[in-house]
Formats: sequence, C-alpha cells, structure tokens
Amino acid sequence: MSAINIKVDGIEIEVEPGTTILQAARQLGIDIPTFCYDPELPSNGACRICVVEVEKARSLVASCVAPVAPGMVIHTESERVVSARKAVLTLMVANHPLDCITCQKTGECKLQDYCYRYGVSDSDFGGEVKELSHDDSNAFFIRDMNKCILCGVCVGKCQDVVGAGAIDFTRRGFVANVGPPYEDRIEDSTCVFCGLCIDSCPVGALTPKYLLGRGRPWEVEKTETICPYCSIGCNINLHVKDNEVIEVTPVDNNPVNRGHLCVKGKFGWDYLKSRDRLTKPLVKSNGVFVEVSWGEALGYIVDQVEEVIDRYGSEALMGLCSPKSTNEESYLFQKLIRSLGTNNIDSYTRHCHAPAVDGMMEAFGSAALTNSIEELASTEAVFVIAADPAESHPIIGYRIREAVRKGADLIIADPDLIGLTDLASHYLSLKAGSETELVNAMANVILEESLQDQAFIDKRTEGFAEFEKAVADYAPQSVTEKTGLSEDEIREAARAYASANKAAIISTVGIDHAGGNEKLVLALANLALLTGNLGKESAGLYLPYGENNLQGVSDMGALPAVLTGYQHVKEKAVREKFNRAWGVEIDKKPGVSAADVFENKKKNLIKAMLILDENPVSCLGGDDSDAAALLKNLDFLVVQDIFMTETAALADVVLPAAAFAEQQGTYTNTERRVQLSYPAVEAPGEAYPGWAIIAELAGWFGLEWNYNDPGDIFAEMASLTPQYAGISYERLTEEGGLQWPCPSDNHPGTPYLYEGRFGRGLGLFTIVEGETAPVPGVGLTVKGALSDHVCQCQSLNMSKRSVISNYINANRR
Amino acid sequence: MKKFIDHCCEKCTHSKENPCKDFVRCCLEGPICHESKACAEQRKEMVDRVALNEKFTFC
Amino acid sequence: MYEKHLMICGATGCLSSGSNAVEEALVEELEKHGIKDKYRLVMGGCPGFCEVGPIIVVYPDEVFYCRLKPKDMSELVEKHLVGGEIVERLLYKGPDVDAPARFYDTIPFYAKQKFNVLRNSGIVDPESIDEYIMRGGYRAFTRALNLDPAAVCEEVKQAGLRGRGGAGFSTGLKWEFTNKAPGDKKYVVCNADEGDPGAFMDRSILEGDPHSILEGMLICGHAVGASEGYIYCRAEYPLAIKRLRIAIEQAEEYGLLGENILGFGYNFKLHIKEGAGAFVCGEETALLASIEGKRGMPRPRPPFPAQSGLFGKPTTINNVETLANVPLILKEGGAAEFVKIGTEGSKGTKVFALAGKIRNTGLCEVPMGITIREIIYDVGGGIKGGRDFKAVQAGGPSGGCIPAEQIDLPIDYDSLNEAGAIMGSGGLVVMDERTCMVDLARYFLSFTQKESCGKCTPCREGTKRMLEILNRISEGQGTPRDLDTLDSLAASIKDSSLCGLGQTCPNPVLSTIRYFKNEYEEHINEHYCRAGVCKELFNYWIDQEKCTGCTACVRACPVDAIEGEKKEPHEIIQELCTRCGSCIEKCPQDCILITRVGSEADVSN
Repeated sequence: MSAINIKVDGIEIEVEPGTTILQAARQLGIDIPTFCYDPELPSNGACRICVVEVEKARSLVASCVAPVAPGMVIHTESERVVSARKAVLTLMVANHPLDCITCQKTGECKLQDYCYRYGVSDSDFGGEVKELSHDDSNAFFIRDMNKCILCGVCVGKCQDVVGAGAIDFTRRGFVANVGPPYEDRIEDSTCVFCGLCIDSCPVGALTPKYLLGRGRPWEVEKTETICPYCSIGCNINLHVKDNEVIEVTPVDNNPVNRGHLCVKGKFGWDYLKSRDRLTKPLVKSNGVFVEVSWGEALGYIVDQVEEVIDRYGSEALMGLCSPKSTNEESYLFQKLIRSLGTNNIDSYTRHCHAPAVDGMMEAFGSAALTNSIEELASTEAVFVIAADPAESHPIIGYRIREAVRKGADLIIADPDLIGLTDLASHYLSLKAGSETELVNAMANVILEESLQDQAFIDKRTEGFAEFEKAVADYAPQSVTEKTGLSEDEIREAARAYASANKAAIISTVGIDHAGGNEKLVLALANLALLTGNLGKESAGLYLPYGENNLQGVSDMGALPAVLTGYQHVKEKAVREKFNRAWGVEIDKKPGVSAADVFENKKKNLIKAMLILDENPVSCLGGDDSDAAALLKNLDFLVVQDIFMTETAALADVVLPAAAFAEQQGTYTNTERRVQLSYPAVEAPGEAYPGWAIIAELAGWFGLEWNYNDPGDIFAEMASLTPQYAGISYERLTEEGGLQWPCPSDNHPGTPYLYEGRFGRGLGLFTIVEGETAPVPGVGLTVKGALSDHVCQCQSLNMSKRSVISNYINANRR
Repeated sequence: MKKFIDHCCEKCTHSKENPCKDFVRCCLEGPICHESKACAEQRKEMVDRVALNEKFTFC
Repeated sequence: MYEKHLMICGATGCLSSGSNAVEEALVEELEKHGIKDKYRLVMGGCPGFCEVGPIIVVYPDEVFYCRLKPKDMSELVEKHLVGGEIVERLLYKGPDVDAPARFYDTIPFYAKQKFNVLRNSGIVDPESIDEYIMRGGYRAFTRALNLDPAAVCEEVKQAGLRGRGGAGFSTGLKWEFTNKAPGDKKYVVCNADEGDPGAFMDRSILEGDPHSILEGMLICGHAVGASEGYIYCRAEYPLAIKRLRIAIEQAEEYGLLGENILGFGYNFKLHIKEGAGAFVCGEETALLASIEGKRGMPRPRPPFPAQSGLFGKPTTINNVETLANVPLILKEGGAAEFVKIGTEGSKGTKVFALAGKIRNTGLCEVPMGITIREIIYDVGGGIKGGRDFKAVQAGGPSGGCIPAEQIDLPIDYDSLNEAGAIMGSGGLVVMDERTCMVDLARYFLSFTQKESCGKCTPCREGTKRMLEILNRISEGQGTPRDLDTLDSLAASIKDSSLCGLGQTCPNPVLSTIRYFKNEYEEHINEHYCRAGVCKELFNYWIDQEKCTGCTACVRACPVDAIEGEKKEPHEIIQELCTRCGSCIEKCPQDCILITRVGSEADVSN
C-alpha cells in the first residue's frame, strides 16, 4: 500500500498506512499531550487528553488510536481541542489532591505539566473527592490511589509485559479504581515489585518509599550504569543526591532491558549506604581485627604470601575470584596470580555453570549464549525446559511473553508449574530426572516425521549418522513411563518446536553439583542442530548464567586451564604471547579448580588463598562446613569484600572494596555484550575499587604495572584477546555495549553466533543416554540460582530478602 | 408423527446427521420426496391439533 | 384437536400483576370441571397491553379478557368455555370505547398497531419449535440458503432495515462490511443486553418468540460467512435465557443448527453468554470484551468489529429486534411487503415501550412515521387523569425529550435526531405537567453515572459533576452559572467521550435545557419547581374557594399537617408538610395546588 498524504496544523506530511495521528504528529515534532499512551502497549484511548480536531469528523478524535486516512486535515490545538483538553484537566483536578508542594512527583508530573500548559489551576465543581486510604503495606512503594487518574498504563504493563497480573481496574464509574483483586493490599497480591508501574505512572500515585522526601527531580544527578545482580546486565540510572543513591530507574532505549527491570535492579541497592560497609583495611591480631593503613595491610600480605611460596612452592597459592567482579578486576587478579607462578585461579560458583560450558564447548566449540536476549521477542517457538526464566531472569520472561503475544508457541517441560505456564501452548509435566529422555524422544519424532533441517545437517554438522541410529531407540512410546507423559504430548511438542521457522531453547544450569546436567545440554544442542536453529536470528540455545559477570570472569581467564578468551595455558604460543606482554613466565601446568579444592578434598594442597568478593563459607554450608574448616586451616587467607562476610571473618587480612556504583569497569552479560559501567557515588571511608587494590598489591609484589584507569587495563586485555580485540572504552562510550566476537575496530559486534561456522568448525551431534541426575531434594529448576544471589547479596536488609523469596513464591502458579 | 422431526414413514430421511434440504417446506406442504396421502394426513393432523384456523398457520 | 386455546400472558408486566396466580386458578377450575384436556393453555408471550394485565386471550373466538383476578376464573370457565357465552364483565372497558371491546380490532390500543416483530408473541407456545414452523418459521432461512451471501446482504440493504438497538445504522450495509472482511473465521453476535430502564421490547421477543432470533442469526451468519454465534443476554432475564436454551436445543435436534445444515454445507453453532449486570456491556465493543472473558470496557474504534471484533475476528453485532425483522424480509415476497410500511428513510415497524403518565402503558408495535400525537392519544389513550401532555422522552438515558409543540413530529430515525432526541431502543416516557424536567434529566444522569465503566475521563468524572450540579439545582442550591457549566461540560463530554454511553449521556440534560430552560431558571432563580417534584422547591396549597371540606386529604396525610373541619375549607400547615403527595392524590375536587414556597397559589395556574 502506498504512503498517505495528510495535513497536520497546516504542514503536509506523507506517512505509512497504519500510522496513527499521534505518531504522524510526533514525526513533525508536534507535541500532543498524552497520559494513557505507551508505545509498548496497545492504545487505550482512555484519558481523552490527546483528542484533536479532524475536519469533517463528527466529534473530536483520539489521536493515539485513530489511523490516518488520505487527505485528512488535522488541527492539534484548535479552540475546540483546547477547550476539550481543559475540560479533561479540570475534571481530573477536581478529583485529585492538590498537594504539589510535598508530592514527590512535582517537577516531573504530567498532570502538573499539562495544567501549566493550558492554564488550569483549580476546578470549581466543589463536589465529591476520592478519599481512599494509602496502601503502604510493602517494603518498596506507596500506592496513593487518590492521585490516580485511571490511565491504565500500569495495568497494561502488569498484565501484558510482566505477566504478574497483580492489578486491574476494579468497580466502575466514579468509584472505579486500580488495584489488586478484591482490593487486597499489594503485599498480598501476585506483585513481583518489578517497578514497571512506578516507572510508567504519569502522576504521583506510586512512589518508591525510599525516595519520599529525599530529593527533587532537579536536585538529582543521574548516572547510567549496569545492574549488578543477574547476567542480563540491565542498564539502569542511578539517581544520586549528596553522594547517596535515592532511586533507580531503567534506561529506556537500549537493546538489553529496554526500559524494564525486576525487583533486584529496581530496589536492591540500599546496601550501598549500610553502616556495616568495610571502610578500612583490617588485619587479624590475636584473633581480633585491627584497623591498619593500606601500606601496612598490603605489605603484610606480600610478606606472608612470599613465605608460603618459599616454603611450599607457588602451587600452594590459590586465587578465588567472583563472577560479580568487573572484567578489569578479574583480569588483573588472574594476571597477579599467574605472575606469582601458578595457574591456581578459579571462581567457585563458576562450577554451577560447568555443565553448560562443557556441553556447549563439546557441541559447538565455544561456550556462550548463541543468540541475543532481544531476539527472543521475535521468535516463533520457545522451548523451556529445566528452567524458570520468569523468575531467574525476568527480562527473558518478559521477552517470551512478548513472543507469545505475537503468536509464538510456548512449550514448557517442567515437573512444577513455573511462572510462564499460563501462556504455554504445550505444558509437559514430566518427572524430574527424565529430561534427557524427553529431548531424545522429541528428536526421534522430528526424524520420524521428517521435520529436520536436512540441508543444515548435511552442510554444517558431523556425527549425524551415529546420532540418528542412537535416537531410533527413543520412540515416544518407549519413554512414556519414564517421563510420565503421553505419546501425543511428546509428539505435539516436538512438532511445535520443529515446524517453526525459528525456534529457541531455554534452559538453565540449575543448582547442580553433579555432572548430570551436561547430558541435558548436549541433548538440547542436538535438538537445535537437528532443526537448523543455530546461526540465525531469533533461534538458538539459551543457557543464561546466574551472576552478572559470570561470562566476563570466564572470558578474562579467571580459570585454571585457560587465559583470556579461553586460550589454553598448555599452548606454547599462547604462553609466549602473554609472557611477552606481562614480562613473566606463566606456568604451563593447568592449576587446580575450586571444585578440586573444596569438594574433592585436594585441600591439603593449598596453603594460602586470596579471595575476591566471594563467600564460599555461606554458599557451601555455613560456619560448621568443610569449606569453613578448610579456610580456617590455611596458613594465610586474604579476603577483599564490601562487607564483613562469614568468609571474611575467617581471614587474616580483610581489604575494603568499592561496590558496583562506586567504580568504573566493564561487565560482560550472558549474551556476550560488554557494557561499561560508571561510578555514581563515592566509596565509603578508605574503600577502593578492586582494580586499584590489585594493581597496588601487584606493585608491592614488585610487579611493574602501569595503569592510570580501568580503560588502560581493558585496552591491554583486549590486545591479547581476539574476541575482544575490537572493543575499547571509546567505542563503548560512543556506541553502547558491544557483543563479542568483535575482532576489529570497525566490527559492529556479533548478536548471534555460528552464522558461518561453529567454534569447532562443524556442529557435533553427541549421543546422550540415560537419566539426568536430579539434584537431591530439588528439581532441575533454577530456584538455586536466585538464592545464590541472595547469599551473595546478603547485604540486602531483612524485609527485602523476604520479599525476594516472596518473589520466588509469587511466581509459582 | 408427534413432532415435525419424526419421520412420517420409512421413506423420510431427514435427520441432523443426514439432512434433507426440503425439510422446512415439507413440514407443512409435505411429503415432498414421495406421494402419500397418509403422510400428508399425519402432517395435517399435527397442524390441526394446534392451529385452530388459518390465522394460526402459514399458508 | 383442541376446542380452544387459552393464551395467558406470562411476560413481565402481567407476571408482576399476578398472572401466575390467575393461571393456577384457571387450571384448578378446568380440572374441577374435568375439561382440562379440551383446552390448550399456554403461558405465552406479551400481547403488549400491560396496563390492563393480567390478560387471557381466548382463541379462536379472539376474545380479549383483561384485568383478571384468580377469582374471575370460575366465571370464565363456566360462562364462556362451558356455556359458550362471553363474560362482558371481564372485557376491556375504557373512556376510549363506547361499549366493552372484544378484541384487537375493537380495542383502540391495537387499532394502529401492526404485528411484524411481535407476530408470534402471544399466539405460539414459545417452547415449541413446531408451532414456530407452523407459522412459517425457518422458511425465510431456507430461502436465504439458496441465495448467494452477498445477495442476502443486498436484499436486507434494499429493504431499508436499520438497526433497532438505537444507532439506526443500515443493517444490510453492516452485514456487507463483515461479508467483505478477509478471514475464514467470523462471528455473529446478538445484543440482548437490553439495558435502558423501562425497556422490555427485546425481552418480550426473546421470551415470546425465541426462534425468530435464531432464524435471524442463521440468516445473518450465512450472509456474512460466520460459523459461530453468541447471544449475549442479560442475566436479569432468566426466562428469556431458559427459552433461548430450549430453542437452541430444539433447533439442534432438528438439524437447523450444527453442521451441514439442511445439506447446504453450512455450519453454525450458537452459544448463550449471560451478562453480569452492566449497562455498558450493551455497547458493542464492551459486549465483545465481556464475551471474551474480560472486563466490559469499550475499546476504541477503529478497528471496527466488522474487521476485527470477537477474538479479533470479523463480527456482526445486531440487536434482538433487528434480527426478529430479518426473517420477515427474507421470506418469499417479504422485502416488498416490508418497504410498504414506514417512511422513506425508516422502513418497517418499531416496538415501543410506553411508560409514564399515559393511560395505556405497555408494548406497542407501530409503523415508522406514526406521529407522536397518534402514539400518545390513539395508541396510548391519552394522558392519565386528563392532564395536559407536556413532553415525551425518547431513547432512554441516551435520548432527549420532545416537547408538546412538536406533537405532530413523525417518529422515525431522522426526525427524532433533528429534534435532539434519538430512537434508541424504543422507550417512550410520557410526561404531563406534573413531571419536573430537571428531575427527569437528573434521573437519567444518575443512571448513567452508576453505569459508566470508568475508563475515560469525560464520562467518569464529567457525569458525576453534572449530576452534582443537577442535585444542587433540585435542592434549591443552584446558581445562574450552573446552566453555562452544564452546557459546556455536556458539550465536552459529548465531544470527547470514548463510547456511545458517554457521548449520549448528556442528551437528556441538553434537550431538557433546550426546550424547558424556563423550568431550570425557575429552579435556580426562584427556587420553584412548578411540577411539584423537587421537594424543597414548592408547597401544596389548598384552594379555599374550591375546597368542599370532604376531609379526604386530612385523613390521608401521614404527618397530620392538614387542618380543617367537615364542610369547612381545609388548610395545610407548611411547617409540618413533607410534600409526600398523599393528599393531592386523594382530593376529589382537584383543588390542591402547587405553589412557590411561602406564597399563595396564583389561581390562574
């Protein structure tokens, strides 16, 4: 269809068919006021402030919903329009508490702005006014429905985008209201406190509790940074006044979270100002911590570590990193350890993700999310197995919901009802532990019904013949007992996945410590290879990681057997490259892993440990655990952290570090996107950013490092790491996040992998058999990943922690 | 024949599974698919039982 | 073969007048005489004349008995059924007839009526599909099946049928839009959520002749290409719902609903969806939302239901009365008959519900173009109590009033629109000088205020503020500015509301101000309600010249506010008087007058 010609306020413009009058006006820079319009939601046409005059139309027309027609002549500010808008505003004001003086929204309130614009200061109707009590039942925000203008945007976000469905319109007419069913308190509803309603409310009806009275919009400085919780890495604005974060809002136009957040990003930051923050270096003397200067602390560390190395050799030293540290910190940390002569560096919780990493390495030759988060919104089928994305990675939950709204099939296989089940077109309530059987049976159906992408298999994979033979044993009838599913269910799920033009698989790595889940990853990789769902947009295999920089920490080589970019220490050429760059001799023997040390009882090996932002005591069983015992028995233990954790309590030296909002650095999210984070507040006392502490410590060890700022560190790392070679702080500042592989300066980054070839050349079919070992007591769902967070972020105060478990439970339907 | 849906005789075939396109007209003017005074009489009887005069029915 | 049929009205009006008890008594009497098998008793549809209910019509004699009580049944049975003699006592009597009237052709109420839509009401047993077929039912549908869908739309268009739900849009054109809309799956919806207060036209059709709706929907489904339909019936009509369920079951049994209907390869399945007490769900898009299981709130248009309606599919929504007209048009020669009735722009008949100060209240079906005068005086029997006709409100809460000066206005869509009223669903509230126009506007507005869904600002907030102003005016707290405020507020609400409810709810206010501004001004400036309705704004005053001292009012007054001895003129003690009106009802001399507060009557009133 051809473009349409219309006239708006005397200006001619040509627009696409289907454009609304509002959109056309915006293209011309004409500002039509709106309350209930939101580009993410279907237009409501409720508030009526956006009405315009269309020549020859009987009544005024709501511009947010009316599509343009050829020859339309529109007046956006005629007398009739202004009169109608004034009427709407006067009516709203007549039923609205006029306490702008103390209202937190003053200065950014649409009602206030439009009243100013149209000269509406009061109404003289003098009639009934709402008198509803405030709902401040929860820890996070206050609902003052007396100020609500019933635009319905919050309802749309809650119902359609997030899917929590905690609020809707209640009652009708003058007493219509917005709230939870039966007018319950929001605390008792299915609200997940994601904050989308607060962020989209045009007036002051919804206010974060912490913000109230703490600062006016014009007193606040906004800094864009990256959320430190999960591996999505949402872009957030920290609102700072007087060196304190008083509010967090999402950044709107970015390809990661697009103006969305979850409860953690929105509210989980008040620990920054906790009085329990570490502010000075501490050294244990006679069982008691004593504050010392930085010089004393660092000098002491060097003495003790060198003594251990002298006595036992470098292999007795170990560095334990955290998947929450920045790339720069992690890079420097592994550089330090390796410069001291050993490859004993690891991050403990990386271990949870080993099955994903190992599985993908085997099948594809590289281990990272194959596609981007945003692409999920446009896929045609989603297969969720052993995962609960709405809970573990809410942004992924929102994208899946969007895909389903656009018509995608959603296939869920889980023993429990997970958060997205209300949308599922196929729900398979399978027995825990039978996941691999199910996936194999699906592969069997796909081959039997010739739904595979044979061209892809022939050209891009190997090992198919053996795989085909092995999978022939997994006819759906044969697994009905093990899985507890019917043959029809399995067939239909397989068909739904395989017949879509592009389909995505989502799984998570669960809480496992057993090796069972690698089988599932391989089985899922088989499924994706079988149907050609790799190397193209909106398809792929998503195994999203837990912590915010798990991807980055691994990329930085904080692993016993590889350096940055997974270059193996065994390779001579690799070692030589790094030796030249660092001026040291890297050991060619791979180091021990955290699992080796903490679980496989190679504990006697390590005598000294440096722990960065980690808390193994809490994660591995508490003060009476084997892990605690191991740490207590070390000759020397250094812990760098922001709080006095259980692990820090056992240390000989504790170093105070800066938190995420207090330092600059990069994080790599689970879709391989490197994002630059800026500091918004100053660290308390003498706490310093981790990179600075390690660099300083290295100096005390006699290593000659020369970094002026984190950008220098990044540049050095990038020069040694092919996947990061084209990324720099300049590019990150100008272009936003970049997804590796990004091999050169003008490379735009890689949204999805394997377009041309796999990491290992061809994709590999592997034969996977038998059960997936279930975790004792817990299904293969991801409750664990979330509680990992809670234990690492124990700085959240009690009420918030209980809400987080509320969050976990609330999403169970 | 108590209701119009009942068959007047074994020649009648109309049912919801096996419909006859003349069914409606046949109720009052039938039988249409075959000649039979007896069948027509059955229909007349049904109508007369209810319709006291021509004002009550369609003609 | 039955000797006679006894059609007892079992519809709203007569039920509330006690027709159930009458029916029980009749059955008892017949059984007592052992003659029950000779007679067919049907609790049937509405003959329309609610004012004189309970009603029994005896066929084939066509005798119309009315105002019946259970104790009348023995005489009816013995004298008429057994003895063959008409019971004069129970016939219709009124000031408009010289002698008790026997039936339709002699009762003036029926003289100008034409039963198209109500053709079967009161004559067939609504729970019998066979009787519907005997009356020619489903023949129009069979004929339509033999026509091309587009041809069916064209016939309806040419016949000039306009939507009877209120808007008056060309039905055939509406069907054509849906017929032309792309898509395999389409729906037909019947709007049976009759919400206007006092309207029961659709109810009578649904209760009295449910198959006519089924037939209308089947024809519509064929014309637009739909295979599934919903009847959205308000839950407050349980009898209608019951009758519809029975009708659907019967039609399914007969192969008139279901798959491969009559062998034409046409599939049509019909569901009933009950409403849940919301007037706004009579609005098309809110109705569709309700069927979809969502909150009944209107949606912006475009997209129009014809393109994207129920569950996003092309949908045609029609009113009950509209659908009841459809078989009449599609039957053999029906269209030609149909266009003979009515005016150029408004063809066919319309069922009206006559209410208010009129003598003959009830339902009537008249050709379009009949004048207001004819409806009020010929059909309606004139104003009760012989008072003067003041105005008639047409179209319920969305409509406006037509003043006495326009009494010769023909009733059709276009002339009503020009006069500032609307046809609406057909409710006509007749008013005399004792109706306060301010109070009338207030009554309708309070209804719409309660029923507003709350979605859009102008309707949700605006109607509340208008109502507050009207309340103040009727309590004597009005200010001169109020009229301007009402005007501008009403204009804004009309101009910017989202749906029909909001866009039309200011109409009663606007039209009463237009024609009866003086009443508003009297309320505001002189604190006077000349109709004697707004209690703060008038006094009762006994005309001392005319009062005969009969003490009827003294005895009637519940607060002993009237003084007076027998044969002496009585007097009202204003401080005690609550203006309840009991005295004025009882006065045989009509000498209690309405005056301004604190003043004597101007006897020229």
